[in-house]
Amino acid sequence: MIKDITLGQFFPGNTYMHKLDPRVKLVICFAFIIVLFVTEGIIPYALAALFIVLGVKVSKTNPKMLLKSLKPIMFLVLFTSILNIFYVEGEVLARFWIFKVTKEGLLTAFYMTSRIVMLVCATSLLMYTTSPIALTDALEHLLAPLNKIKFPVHEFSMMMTIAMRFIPTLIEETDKIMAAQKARGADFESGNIFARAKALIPILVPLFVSSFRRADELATAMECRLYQGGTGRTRLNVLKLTKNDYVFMVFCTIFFVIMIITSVVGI
Amino acid sequence: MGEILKLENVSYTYGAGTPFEKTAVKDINLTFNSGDFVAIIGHTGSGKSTLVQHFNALLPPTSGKVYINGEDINQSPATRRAARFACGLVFQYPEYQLFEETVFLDIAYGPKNMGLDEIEVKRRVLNAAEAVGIDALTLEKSPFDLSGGQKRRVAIAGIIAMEPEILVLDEPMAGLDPQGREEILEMIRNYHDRHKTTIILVTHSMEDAAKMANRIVVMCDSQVLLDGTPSEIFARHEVLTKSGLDVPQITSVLIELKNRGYDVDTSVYTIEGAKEQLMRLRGKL
Repeated sequence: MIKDITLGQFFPGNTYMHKLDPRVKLVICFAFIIVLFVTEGIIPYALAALFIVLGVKVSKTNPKMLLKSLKPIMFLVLFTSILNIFYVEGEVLARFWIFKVTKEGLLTAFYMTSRIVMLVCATSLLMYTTSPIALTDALEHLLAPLNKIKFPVHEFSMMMTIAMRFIPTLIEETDKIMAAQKARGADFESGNIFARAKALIPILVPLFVSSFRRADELATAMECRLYQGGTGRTRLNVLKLTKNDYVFMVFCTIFFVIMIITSVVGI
Repeated sequence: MGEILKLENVSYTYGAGTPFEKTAVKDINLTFNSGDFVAIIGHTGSGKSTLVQHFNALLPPTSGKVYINGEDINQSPATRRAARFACGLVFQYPEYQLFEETVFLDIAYGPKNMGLDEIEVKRRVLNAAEAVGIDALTLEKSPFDLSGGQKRRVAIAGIIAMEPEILVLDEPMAGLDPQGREEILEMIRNYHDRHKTTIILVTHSMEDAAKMANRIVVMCDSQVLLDGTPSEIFARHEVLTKSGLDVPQITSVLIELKNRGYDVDTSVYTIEGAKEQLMRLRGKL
């Protein structure tokens, strides 16, 4: 059941999208989100949707996986759109009891929904096509200027890398411990909230114990390999921009500019 | 000797519908008789660990049925829960599931979940502790203060205390030193001799399987490759070698003798049997 979490899950592949430099993907994804929030209108959003569809096609991602990643935010989407439909003032379209639906409300609801959905789609696409390690690597590169103000960028990204590296391990471990305790008759699904909370102890204690054990082992292993932080460290895979990356960046920039122009012109 | 556990066309697929989809067990048909000591053998990734999780309804089969004492165990949450107690499953590295303050409380976790009264729980804990060789003093210690081998025993006791009709052990000797392995094997054998519980031992060691079991099931690529008594299995050593599994050392000596033209029986797997074969051979020469 825990395995159903898809956010941040990387699907290995060998497509154009997979091979792009993670820094480029990260920046473009970020830019896309900003553009999403500064633009408004049917055509800009149609373009944004097209952008997502192109991304899905190029990366050969299963559209079902994208829908799956949308599931957890469905509540948020519904909540914001309902609020917007009823609470935005403007030209009244329909009215019943104390509620009124306005044209502006409907539009805002539509825009908000599209924004959230496309935001999640874009970040999911990024996550599906970029390994977590590559992603933190990119983050370290992009944050490098912060070193000047004594921000420990390397340590920060190492922490992120380790944390991400251990998410699947811990999920697997949790599954195993749950199975083992279920085999001893543990029951996580019935009883009131206190009984359920108490039923978690047999999972949490072993999980904590093994996390500390793993952390200790990892620290020892890093020490054995003379890890001493970022200074003077070289990389096995040096990130390098290729022609493909430049083409992608130019294409995306043009795309985003068109989105902004169509929004400003107001169509 | 009635049949106690039965699998009918059981298949299981992990992550159906994702790029990680993988069939772990494929169309398995097996019947286990009461009082049997069965070894399930196969190398890493052959599906044996997935298979045993079907025995107590931890994994619902993607298709097929599992019966304990003739009853389908995947009918409802209640039957699933009953199956957990009827078929005790000791996982790989079971010591990582220990969590209670004392060894006693940890062993008592299973019986308590069965809803037994305090006296019965205590009786079972003491019996189980005795069966695995944990003394009264250790029962009051924290499980986290024990040695690796002792932790393993405590974890096994936690399952034994539920007094299941079938005891499944998934690689109970993994990661132990030779002495620890021998002790655990001895303990399992004694338990089987004394209680006549059906025991299913998952292992990848042919030696252990040969020593312990009266029936061996060989798994390969998610399917049952061979199924029979140890002699029947080892007589077909070419099949075993082809799927990357070993035969016991004794058997491989006899196979080598046969290859060199001596007339010996290659289904023998005990020192006694080998001695007999060699004596016979000597008499003939």
